[in-house]
Amino acid sequence: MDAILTLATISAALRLAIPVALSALGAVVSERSGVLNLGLEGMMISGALAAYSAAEATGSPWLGLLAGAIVGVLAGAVLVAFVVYGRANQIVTGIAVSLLAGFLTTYLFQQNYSIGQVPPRLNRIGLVALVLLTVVLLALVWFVLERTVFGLALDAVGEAPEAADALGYGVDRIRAIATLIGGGFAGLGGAALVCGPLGLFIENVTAGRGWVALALVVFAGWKPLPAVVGAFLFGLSDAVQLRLQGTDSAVPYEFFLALPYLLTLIALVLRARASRTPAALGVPFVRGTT
Amino acid sequence: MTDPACAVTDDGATVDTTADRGRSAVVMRGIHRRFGTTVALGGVDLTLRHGEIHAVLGSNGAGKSTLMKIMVGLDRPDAGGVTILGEAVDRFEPRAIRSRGVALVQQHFTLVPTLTGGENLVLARPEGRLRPDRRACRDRLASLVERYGLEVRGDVVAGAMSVGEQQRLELLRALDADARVLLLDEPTAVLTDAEADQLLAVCRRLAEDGRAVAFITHRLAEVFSGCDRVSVLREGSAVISDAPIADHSRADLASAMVGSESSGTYSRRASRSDEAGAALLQLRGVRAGRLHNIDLDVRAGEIVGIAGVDGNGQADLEAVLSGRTAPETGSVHIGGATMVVADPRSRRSLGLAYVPSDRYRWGLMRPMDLADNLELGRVPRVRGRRAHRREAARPALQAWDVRSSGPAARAATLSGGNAQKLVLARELHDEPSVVLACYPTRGLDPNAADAVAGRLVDRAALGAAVLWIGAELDELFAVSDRMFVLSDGELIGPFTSPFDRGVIGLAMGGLAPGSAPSKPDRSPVPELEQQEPSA
Repeated sequence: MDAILTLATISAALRLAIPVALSALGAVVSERSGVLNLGLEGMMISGALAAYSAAEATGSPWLGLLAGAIVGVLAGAVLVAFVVYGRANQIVTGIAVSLLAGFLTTYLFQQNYSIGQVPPRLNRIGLVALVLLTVVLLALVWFVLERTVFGLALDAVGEAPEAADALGYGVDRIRAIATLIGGGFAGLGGAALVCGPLGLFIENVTAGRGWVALALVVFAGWKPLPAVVGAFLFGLSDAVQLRLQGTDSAVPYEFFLALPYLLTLIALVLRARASRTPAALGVPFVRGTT
Repeated sequence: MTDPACAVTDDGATVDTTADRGRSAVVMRGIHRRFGTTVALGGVDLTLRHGEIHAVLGSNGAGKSTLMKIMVGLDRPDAGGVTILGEAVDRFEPRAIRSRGVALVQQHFTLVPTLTGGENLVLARPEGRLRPDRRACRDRLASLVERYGLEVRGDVVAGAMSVGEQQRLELLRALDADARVLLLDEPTAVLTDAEADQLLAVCRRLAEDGRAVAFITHRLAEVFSGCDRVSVLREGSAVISDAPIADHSRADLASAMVGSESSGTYSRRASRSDEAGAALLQLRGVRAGRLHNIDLDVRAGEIVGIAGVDGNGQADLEAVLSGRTAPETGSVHIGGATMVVADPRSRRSLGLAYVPSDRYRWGLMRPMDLADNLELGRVPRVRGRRAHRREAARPALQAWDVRSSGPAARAATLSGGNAQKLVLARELHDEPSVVLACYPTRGLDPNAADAVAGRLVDRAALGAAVLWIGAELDELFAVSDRMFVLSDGELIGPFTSPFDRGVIGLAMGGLAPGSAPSKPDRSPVPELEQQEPSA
């Protein structure tokens, strides 16, 4: 076992954790305002494809990250239009965004690279830079949520939108901003996956990491630091299972593949009761209904 | 922030505490507001003056809350104008009006339950873009607490505070913004007597600082103990407008509040009380929510009407009798058998039919068809074919005059009156011995209301004990054999026919018959056991 927890495993864990951590941070912001972003997976994969295309075209993975974040914000705008201003069902709309983005990215990718052709590998961003970026963004999110009046209003809108409305805060505007921020972080998360350790885009490259990020938000009790720590734990179990796959074992490798997701599920069930959901999460705001 | 004790300055930044007195702070003229076909306000005038406490009095649905919401921009009038501190309001928008110094303390507080007292204060009026930490928030609240003498804890989340403390926090928030006009919507409804007295004293102090205070209430005692002027709203009109309190007696205000005309459209009972038999529904020492120690007997063949302003315990009485919630103490007996607490099934099996106050929430399943709705709660586990069930429903729908496209129609397609008849058809189908009817005619047109009232009267004539919780006095006078007023969680009465509108109006205003006129009266309930109805 000691071979498993080596420095290499830790750095692999960080690599695997960063995209999830960034998406989870974004989800913390949008969910604290009361918008359930089930489109997170779709926003991640959209960001991933945008980042790959931009980085490949320009040769700069940093521009790739930027493109990923921008496309994430745009995908967030779709959700805002339907969910915040259209007051559509947040669960159905979010899932639709995820499904649509999944198929659309596959289609667009195949338009550019025929089957069998090997897409070029990108210049990659180093792990240290990505870790620093994540830490800076974590500090930024924490500061905005805990130390600004906007963060206070964001919590108010997620907990008691009618109270915030009566105090003159624009509930829709705050939720829209929070959802756009959430989209940008998810796009960035997808971009970090492609421009970071992998350097490649493949179909379904996010492999459900957006869903894991959503689960981590609950696990983290809607707090930024625990969300990032949770993402690291997920990354660690992912890294360990990759090692275990390589060992001679009677256990089928699919079991190890499923292991991080299984651990996420167990952690979620154990933690879910302890954490308190924002009271207005998933509830469209209509003035005068409460 | 302006110190109210400051001397007046030339630039007018601070307000003189005496020169302003009696000057108009808010002038509302010809305010109209309708919701769908309901006229909430039909041309109301109201003037609030600096240095005065103005009581706005009215029963349920009189339009008090709508008027206040318009004044603070939470709603807009369809017609009419509002002038605040000399300037006409052109945009009815909460933030714009609040910045002019008008603050409303609502019945439902606008606090965020997960934030502390201090954080709620900062949320209402942030200073700059950065959020102070919890300690700084708490200190900011503490300075207000010290200045106004309203005790609120700054580091406790609002959700963990008592309603009295939450209200004080709301009030402090309004004062923090240096509100010159304070509107309090039913502020004492949720307070204990001591807290209510304290609040009145605080309001007096605030008025003396030159603020205009409006006190929306239905309690007459408070109007006389603390207010300078009074307006009375009834059915969207100002019956009394901006009158000095000295011009009116309690009886005047009570009758202005409840009206005097009798519509006489409801079916009157041919005979009253004479044939009343055994007590079929008995409440013994029931305490629950706002209810204190309720004792009540409803006998076979009689209708007992419960009058009162909403929020005085009606919802708790309904919840206990329908079996939704358990009383804290006391018991409910139906036909001699004790009802199992908080068990709707026990209530049903003992023969208590329930016509809920919210028929769409507790009475019907809107997406289901009429035949299914008729069977809810009274069918065996295994049901027949759908076509058969619908055929079987036809006679009942006809007998109860439920007008629809047939048993396959969804309940959502019914009008209010037909929906209520559907509830009655189901609830009265198995000939219950006791009927609990909560606002059974609310929202119905006169014909439908008459039909519903007639069905309940018929059921009483057939020997059922009917408890009717209602809001419209004329209707209760017409159908009841005996009446009680539910005020502050206590039953005042019984009153017997012929009913005295004035006495009942005073009781609804929180004044029990024979109470001392100078202070709020919360005297204990008369011993019901000893007061037999006049035969």
